[in-house]
Amino acid sequence: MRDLSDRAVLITGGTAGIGLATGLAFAKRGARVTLTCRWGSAEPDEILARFETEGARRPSILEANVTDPDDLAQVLAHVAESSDHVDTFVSNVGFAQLVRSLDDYNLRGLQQSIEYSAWPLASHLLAIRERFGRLPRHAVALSSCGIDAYYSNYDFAGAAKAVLETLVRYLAHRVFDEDCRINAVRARFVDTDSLTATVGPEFTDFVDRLGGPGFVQTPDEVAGVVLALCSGWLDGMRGQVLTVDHGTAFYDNLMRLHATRTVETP
Amino acid sequence: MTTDKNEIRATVLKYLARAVDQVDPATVDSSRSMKELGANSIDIVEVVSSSMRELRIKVPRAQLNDLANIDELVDLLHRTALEKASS
Repeated sequence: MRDLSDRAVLITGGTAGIGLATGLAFAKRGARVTLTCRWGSAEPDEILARFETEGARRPSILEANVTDPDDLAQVLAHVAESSDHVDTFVSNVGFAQLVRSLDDYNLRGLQQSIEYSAWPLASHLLAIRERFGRLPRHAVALSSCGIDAYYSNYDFAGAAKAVLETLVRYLAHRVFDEDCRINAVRARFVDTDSLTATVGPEFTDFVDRLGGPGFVQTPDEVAGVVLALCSGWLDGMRGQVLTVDHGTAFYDNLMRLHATRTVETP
Repeated sequence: MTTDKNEIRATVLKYLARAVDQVDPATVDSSRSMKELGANSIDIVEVVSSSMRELRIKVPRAQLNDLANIDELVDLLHRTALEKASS
């Protein structure tokens, strides 16, 4: 791993799940990490204590709404107090209207889902460039396999993530002449509060029982891929979408279940 | 930070009216849920989060999950404000 010390890293939704794991991964390697979260969604003292316990550099924690330009300006003003640029931006917030039936379909909910889950990648990059005069060297957007596979209640979340991945590819083209690498990481079933909120509390137990060990990924595994994309070793990659799923998406189907059933009950 | 329940209620209804066009803070029936009044799941989170932020109070998410209507939200925020003021 290349040296990450003193890198200025900004992570939205950085106080839980994949965002928190990513913040810890960078801070353990000496990066100056700024984590944002929605007001009241985290207990900063607990987050700071965890960083200290794990030997990670103390992060900044700012309560900011990713859709609010004033909040974003304040976040960047805070970063500017200790750095003249942002090295790494991780667009992690995903927040969408849950859809349980056709009755839940509404354009406003879809637009809000895109505003929270896709647009912050662009809005933050534009604001960073305006504030610091240049884009981050690395930007990573957290996407989801729910784009092209069925996830419970995920209609608008999947649509928003599809927008996000499309923006990753086009933005990578738009900044081709700049020192900026934009990529996406697709996670599948990651054991987080977000997964529980989307599909219910019993889901991971169900997956463990039917899928066996290895179906559910950990936030640390996803964070490791984000870290690798920002390490410098993968700078040849731009506009790519990397999937973190232990390869399970390929064989998570009825054929595998049938084969397993046949072996168990011949 | 205010501990005035009427101010807390006004704050909640202000953000609800911003989220849902048909809600009038002056006439809304606060014994109904935000969902019944036309708010979607994102609206509800925004109303709660914006209200807590303006009121400078925080309520654990677990306590928010079981609220049946707007009155219960106002009651919870009021109790939290009082506890914070007395601590």
